Formats: sequence, C-alpha cells, structure tokens
Amino acid sequence: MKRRNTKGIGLERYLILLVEDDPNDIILIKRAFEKANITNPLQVVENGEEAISYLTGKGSYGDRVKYPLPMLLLLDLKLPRKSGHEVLEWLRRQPILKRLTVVVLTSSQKSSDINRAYDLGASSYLVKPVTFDALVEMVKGLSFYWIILNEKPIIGGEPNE
Amino acid sequence: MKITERLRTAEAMHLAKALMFAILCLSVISASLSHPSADKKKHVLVIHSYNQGMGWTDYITQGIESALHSTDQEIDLHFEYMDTKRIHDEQHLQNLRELYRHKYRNCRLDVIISSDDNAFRFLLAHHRQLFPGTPIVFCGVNDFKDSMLVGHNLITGVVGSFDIKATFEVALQLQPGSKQMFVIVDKTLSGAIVKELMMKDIPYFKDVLQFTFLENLDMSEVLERVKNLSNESIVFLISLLIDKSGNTFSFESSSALISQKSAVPIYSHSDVYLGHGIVGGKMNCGDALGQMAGEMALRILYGEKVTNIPVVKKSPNRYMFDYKELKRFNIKSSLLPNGSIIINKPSSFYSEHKGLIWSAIVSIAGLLLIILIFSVNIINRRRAEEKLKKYRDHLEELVENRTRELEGINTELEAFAYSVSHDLRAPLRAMQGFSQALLEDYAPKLDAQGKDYARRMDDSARRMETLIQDLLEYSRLSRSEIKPKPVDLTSVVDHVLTQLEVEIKDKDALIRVDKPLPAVLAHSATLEQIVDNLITNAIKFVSPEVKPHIHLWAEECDTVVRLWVEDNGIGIAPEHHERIFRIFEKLHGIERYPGTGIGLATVKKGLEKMSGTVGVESVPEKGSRFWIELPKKEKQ
Repeated sequence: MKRRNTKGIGLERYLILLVEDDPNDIILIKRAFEKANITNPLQVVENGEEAISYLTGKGSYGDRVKYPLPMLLLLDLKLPRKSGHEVLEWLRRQPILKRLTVVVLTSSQKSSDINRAYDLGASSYLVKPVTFDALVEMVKGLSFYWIILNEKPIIGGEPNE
Repeated sequence: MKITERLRTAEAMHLAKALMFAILCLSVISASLSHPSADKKKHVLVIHSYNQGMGWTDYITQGIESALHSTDQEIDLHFEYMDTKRIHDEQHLQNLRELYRHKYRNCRLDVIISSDDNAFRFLLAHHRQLFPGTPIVFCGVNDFKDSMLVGHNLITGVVGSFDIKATFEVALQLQPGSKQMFVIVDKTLSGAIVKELMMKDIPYFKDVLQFTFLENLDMSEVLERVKNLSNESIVFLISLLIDKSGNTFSFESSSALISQKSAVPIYSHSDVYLGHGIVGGKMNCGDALGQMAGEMALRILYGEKVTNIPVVKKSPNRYMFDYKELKRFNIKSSLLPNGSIIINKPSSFYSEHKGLIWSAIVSIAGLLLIILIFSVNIINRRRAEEKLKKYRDHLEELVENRTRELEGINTELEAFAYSVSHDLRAPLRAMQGFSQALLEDYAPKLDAQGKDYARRMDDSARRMETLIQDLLEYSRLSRSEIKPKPVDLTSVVDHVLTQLEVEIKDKDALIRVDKPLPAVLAHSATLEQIVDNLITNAIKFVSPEVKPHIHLWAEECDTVVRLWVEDNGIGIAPEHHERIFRIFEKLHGIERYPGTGIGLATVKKGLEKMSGTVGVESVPEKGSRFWIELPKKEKQ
C-alpha cells in the first residue's frame, strides 16, 4: 500500500543529486534532463566532500525542506577533494543512507574504475557519451529505469522495515 | 816510350804476376781441399805375440780398434800375429824378421803397437833395423823392467801387471773361512812369470791360507784333485796350456775342463778364462789394455813426443765375475766389490725389453700429456661455461629489470592514455553539446553561415571522438597479451554482420557469405573487430552511385585458414597496398571518405598478435580483395 502510494504520489517529486565538478557537464546534463522532459528536481554539488555534507545535512544542508535527501545519486568519479569511489565507499557504510541508488556517471571506461565502483556497491555504471543526443537518450533511459521502473528502498527510515 | 807509358806497362806486369800467383795459390788450396793427400793417412802396425782366435789377443785387438776408431784420423791398421804360443824358436823369429823386413820395406809406419811379452822382446831387439824411427807402444808386458828401455826413446806402453793379491782378497771375501788355496800352473813362460809375481804376494796370506801348487801335472791328475776339494778350499788358475804329458789346451778349454770337475770356485788373474768356468777375480783384461795402448798410439799420431808419454806401470785391471759361476756356488753378488763387472748376468726385464719399456713409457707419458691437455681444456671450458652462465644470469637479470621497467612504462602509458581519453572527452562533450545547443536553441538568431560554423564545430568534435576511440582501441591491442583459442569464423562473421545491420541497411549493401566457414585459432573479440573493420571498409569505400556487393569466403590449407573479403569498391592502386596498413595513413580526404586512418593498422596489429597476416589484391575502380590468414584450429 505504502509503495503504491509513493508511486502514486508524483514520481516527479523525487530529488536527484548530481555530483559533478565540470561546469560544462553540469549545464549539458541539466539541458539533457530538460530535453528529455524529466521534471524531477536536480540538486548539484561539485565535489565529494560537498556530497557528503549534503547527504549528512551538515551546515546549510541541514534544512531538509530546501535540501531533501535524494532518491538517486548521479556520481562522477574524478572529483576534487574526495573521489566518487570514496564517496561511494563512505555511503555504503552509513546505516541510514546505505540503500541509496547510486548511478556512476563518468567519462572513464577503465575496467579498474568500473570494477571498483561495483565492488563498492554502485547500482549502475554509465559512461558519459560524447554527443549530446546520446546524452539525452541516456538520461531518458536512466530516468525511465531508475525513477519509474525501479522499486525504491526506504532511505532514512527504520533499517529493517 | 814515354815515362808514363813505361810506368803503366810495369804496373800491368806486376798486376799480371800477382794475379798468376793468386790463381796458383787458389789451385793449390783447392787441390788440397778436394784431394786429401795420401800422406795424411796414418799407418799403424799391431804385432801380437800370439795368434788370432785366442781370446786374450782378440780382446786386445778390440780395445785397440775402439780407441783408434774414436777419431776422425784416417788410419790404416796392419796386423801381425807372431803365434809364439805355438812356435817359439830362433828360426821362427828369424823368419818373422825376414818377413817383416820385406813386407814393410816400402811402408812408412807411424806407430807400432805390440801385445804381450814376446812381441815386445822381438821389437826391442830388432826394431832399429826393421822399423827405424817408428815409435812403439807396448801392452801386456808382464816381465817389464825400466832398464829394458835404456837407449830406446821411441818406446812406451802399458805394463801387464796382475793384481793377484786383490784376487786372493776378494776370494776370501766371497768365501770367508777358506783355509786352502790350490794354485794350478804349467811350465809355460807366462805361467812362470805369473807364478813368480804371485809368490811375492803369498806372505800377505801366510796366516790365513795354506798354499798348494798343482804344478806341471797331467790334466787328469788336476781334475782328480779339484774334484775332491773340501769347501774350505779355493782354486787359483794361472795356466794349464800344456800338461805334463804334452797335451795342449786353449785358455778356454783348460778352464772349462777344470771348472767342470771342481768342487770349489776357481779364481784367476786373467779374463781369458772368464766365461769358461771361473768365478772371477781382479783381472788383467785385454780390451782395457788394448784401449789404453791405442789411446797412447793416438797421442803419438797427433804429434806428441814419445818421451812425454810415460810407461803405465799399473795396468787397468778390473774386478770381473761370471754370474753363472757365482750362482753355481751360491755366492751373493752383494758381496762383490763396487764397480765389479758381471758377465752372463741374466738380462733384466728392463734391459731385455728396453725399447719396448721406453716406448710404453713414452706412450703412457704421451697419453698422460694428452689427458692433462684435455683436463686443462675441460677445466678451461668449465670455467668459460661458468663465466658464460654468470654473464647469462646477469643478462637475464638485466632483461628482467628492463622488462619490469618497460612494464612500468607501459602501465604508465596505459594510465596516461585513459586519462587523456577521459580528459579529452570532457571538453569534446562541451564543444559538441554547446554547438548543438547553439543550433537548437539559438537557430533563429543565427544566419546560414553561423549555423554552418556551429555545424562544423559539431562535426569536428564527433570526428575527434572517433579518433580517440580508435586510438584507444589500437593502443589496447598493442599492449594486450592475446591467447588464441579455437574460434568459429561463421559465428564471428554473423555477429559482426548483426552489429553492422544499420550501416548495411543505410548503404543498401549486398553481403554474401559462403558458409560454413572453418574454425581458426584466434582471440574472438579481436577477430570480430578485424572482420568488422574489413566489412565496414568494404561498405564505405565505394563510389557513391554504386551499391556495395561484398563476398566473404574461406580457403583452407594444411595449417592456415584464409578469409577473403571482396568488394566492388573504388579499389586501391598497387603503390598504396603497403601504406594502407600503416597507422594514420589515409588515401582520401575527410569529406569523401571520413575515417581516422587507424582501422587497417588495427587489423594488422590484431593479426600480428594472433600469429596471422593480412594482405590485399586490388584493381582500382574494380574493387579490392582483402584476405586475412590465421592458424587453423588443430584437429582434436
């Protein structure tokens, strides 16, 4: 019942947190979301530390109304201060946050990067395409699968429920 | 005639004289050199008192000859045997005198050597008449007195002295405890002389030995006596050449007869008996005497004055023994005086096989030397091998180190390539994304040229992405270690065709594959990429108005499989057949046939990694046939 309700209450309200340091990519990803007609709110943080601050509600992120917990984390790997791998490793050790869906979105095709991401508990691994059209397609698929089709866990609630 | 001319003539005459003299001298010298004058040959006459065939006399001859033959001097030796053992009367001597006078009247003798008393006495009496001025060397004269030479300054020689005392001493040494000495002697002159000499030595032994003389007996009597002698007895043989009854015996036969019967050892003063039944003694030996006389004669031949060569009073007597007799009477040869000569000694193994032993020793030594050489060789080789091994190990270490270094560099390069691809791609995405955004969002504000520019930016970014992608692929192939496995070519081709469905449809290409294709040894992902590149090229490089027709088939031989990819494309001029497989080589402008120039290089590299090859046959405007060869899958 609860799930159906949640599903029923506009999926478009689920927040997506984008961890991305390249301002160009931020603009292009945002634009791709627009082109793909995805209306979910998109929050952007530009490095690993900031991502952790956001997720733990530190500082200005304490306001959960303004900065609610995301349903999906889009995580770049090459990040200043703390890498995507480090954020992922940290996240999976957090009792409250560990179930969060994390899609790695990066330009690295290195198998070591890919394998490590999955070892650390990534839900999915996507390589940023070069052409914008491909990016739009990817964002569409992403949203369709992870926001619409995928059954979501409870984040921040009782661990075993 | 002018003075100068005269002078000249005189000079010429002097010169001619001098020349003639020189020629004369030369001819004399050369004559003397080429024809040794007859005068140079020396004549030596040897006069023996006795006859040829008598041991003693023959020994002396041997000694004389060995001395005279030891020199380069050419010597003509004459021998005379007075034979006085057989006949010794005034008539005989008279006859000899006449004989020699006549025989040697025209021969200038340089030296005369005489042996024994009779010849010496004969010469002493007659040499002034027979051989005036010729020096005389005597030997073996037993009855010598200095007074004999008074008034004779051309005579010298060796006295035939006996060491009878030494012989008795050695007999006692060999047979300690002997008490009786039996002396056998006949009535001959020499026998009498020796006996007389012996009598002088007897007093030395008067306390030890009792002397008995078997003198002037019949041979049979002597034999009877010696047969029954006790073992405390010694026999000393002086001579028994004529017995009481007038029977004559030679030295050899007399001693042999007596020895045969004798119960005790026989000693003597003279080596004429040695080898014929006597044990031995300190002996007057003929060859040593002859040798000494010969040497004295040589000195005279070389010009030494006779008066400078004194008479040798002590003849070169030697301790001589017969091994057979020593053995017969059980006498140890270790008791013999030092330097003793032992005859009839059974030749030792060594002396009998001297040559054999030496050749064996030499060959063993040779073999040892060879073994030594080989051993040294082996040791050296081992050392060299060790050294080589050390070098090899060191080299291997170096190679390992270098490999590690290279691997490190490779890893670094790999990291570099990825980071480059990552970092290049971000701005590329931005270029492409924003140029597209420009075209989409700001189209109304851009004129045709602005739109064209934006489109070019977009195209360039896309092309660069392909380039990076291809480069990464090529470098990945270069680096990776590929392990070929059996791969079915049919499924590889099918898979590639499925992937290329869109392109095939776009170009309306017709693709025919002669199935089934055989299995090969390859790395399937790499092989797929190779086939993909070849088919993509076949589709791509056709004239715009032509519909691509592509034909794939395979040929098999013993060890390899060849896959052909034939197209009806634009073809490749023969001069470019090699170039096309090099990286970044392109034959066409980007506008007409876009590409990175990496595709065929990747094909070649991939095949190299799988022990395969690639090639092309092509006719421009007609089409190309690319082939790849791969090892055949081994039969199970």
